[in-house]
Amino acid sequence: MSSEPSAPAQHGTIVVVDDDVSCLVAVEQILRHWGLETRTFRAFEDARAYLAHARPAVVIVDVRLGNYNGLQLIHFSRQHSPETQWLVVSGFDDPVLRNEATKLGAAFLTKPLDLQRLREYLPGGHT
Amino acid sequence: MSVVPNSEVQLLGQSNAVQTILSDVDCAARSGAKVLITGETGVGKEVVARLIHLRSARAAGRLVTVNCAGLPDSLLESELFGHVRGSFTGAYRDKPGLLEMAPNGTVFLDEVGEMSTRMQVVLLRFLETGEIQRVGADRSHIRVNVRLITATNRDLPKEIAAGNFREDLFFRLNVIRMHIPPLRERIEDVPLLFDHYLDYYCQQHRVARPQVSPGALDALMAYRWPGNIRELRNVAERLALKSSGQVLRPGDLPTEVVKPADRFEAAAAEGAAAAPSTSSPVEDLTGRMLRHGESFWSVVHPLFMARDLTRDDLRRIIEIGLENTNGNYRLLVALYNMPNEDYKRFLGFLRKHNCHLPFQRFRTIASRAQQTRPVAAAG
Repeated sequence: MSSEPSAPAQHGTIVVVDDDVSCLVAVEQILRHWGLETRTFRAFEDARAYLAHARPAVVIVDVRLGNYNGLQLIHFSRQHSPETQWLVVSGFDDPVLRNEATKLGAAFLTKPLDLQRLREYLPGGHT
Repeated sequence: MSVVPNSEVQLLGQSNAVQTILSDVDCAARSGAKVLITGETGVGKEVVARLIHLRSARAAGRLVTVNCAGLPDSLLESELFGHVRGSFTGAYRDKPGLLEMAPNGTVFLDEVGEMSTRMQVVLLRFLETGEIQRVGADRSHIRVNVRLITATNRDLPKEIAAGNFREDLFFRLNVIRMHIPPLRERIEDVPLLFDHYLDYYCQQHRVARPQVSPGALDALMAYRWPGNIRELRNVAERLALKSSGQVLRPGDLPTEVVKPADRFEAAAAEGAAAAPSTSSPVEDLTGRMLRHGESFWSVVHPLFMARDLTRDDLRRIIEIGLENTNGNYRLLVALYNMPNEDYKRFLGFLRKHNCHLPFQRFRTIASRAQQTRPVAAAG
């Protein structure tokens, strides 16, 4: 698991942000199993620093990140990386947050993740 | 970052912290999502809210500010959502709420951490439906299009853990979070901010603008500013009121800024005699208002009403204020951190409790005390 902000990622990278380490590791393992290049972040600030420059293909982010809301990361990234697909995941299906996510062009998925649905949003998901 | 007291809104400062805030303000302004601003009292949360509004697509709409602290539950609900005639004693006519009064604008809820659990539920429902129901109305829901910006100086995750704040509301309000650091964490901005406010208040009170000695500047930068920018602004105004245009030295600064314990070298260097502070309740309460930016209504009023403060204590507090403002009650209202609109209410309160002191003698005291340095504003 790497968490230091560094050079921009290549296209095709999947970024996972979740402060719950067990969820993070589980999703990372699945993505790697599917052969996808994955970067993970536990802390909002680290993810923010990375996403300020990177242009990943997909970001999977939990709504609840300590004091922060995962949706905020979309704002930092959208201007320079509009093509990034955002998947917002939450343990609670809050209609207000779902609406916020949709307005930002993100998909809103509830935990536990439906892997088939998840796959649809990932590169090569339809093949 | 601060507000120029009358109209113009700007962030002042060259520190990295201010630059980050400015870029976050632009980001928040572009997005239209709900914003939660956190930070200690007096750091300028309302200024940040104003900036977000002014730079957003809603800038043509109104920005309505509501302070959730100090308003009883039922009043806050009726302020926000309005009420229908006859819904409670004194509700003589239908009244629209503030949320209705900012169509396509922004509503800024300050001190949102002070909201009661019941009000939190009402707000939660509003966020879900976007509809408002006036107090006492059966239905007649009105949909409004407003953006919500909230602020608090409380640690909301801690309040959630203590059961005082709803977690679901926190996540709905906290889509974009902006933390404004205290002034002591960006102390390099103090000279610029102090210069700015000293200029402003000297102009406003039409007194000569004093130069600031290096020793005084050192003292200002060594101080921790517990009341943040609001405190710095108050200090600048008090100094402007006393200014005779001569160079400001550490000894001219308020004692709390140049305390011997903190700043003995500056005091020794320029021969300042900082009086040791006594800690009577009156001193303590005035200190909280003057230094920490707390309001008269939250610091003094409840204690007086609960009879924990005597009439003499209250008179002494007013006296200290009048000594600081050359007997000017309007300035006293600002000095004790009350909004200008509270002027009448404040005077009414003092008169009712027979604590309205004649201001004239403070004007003469001020000019007598400063005979060695005649003051233009003393008359």
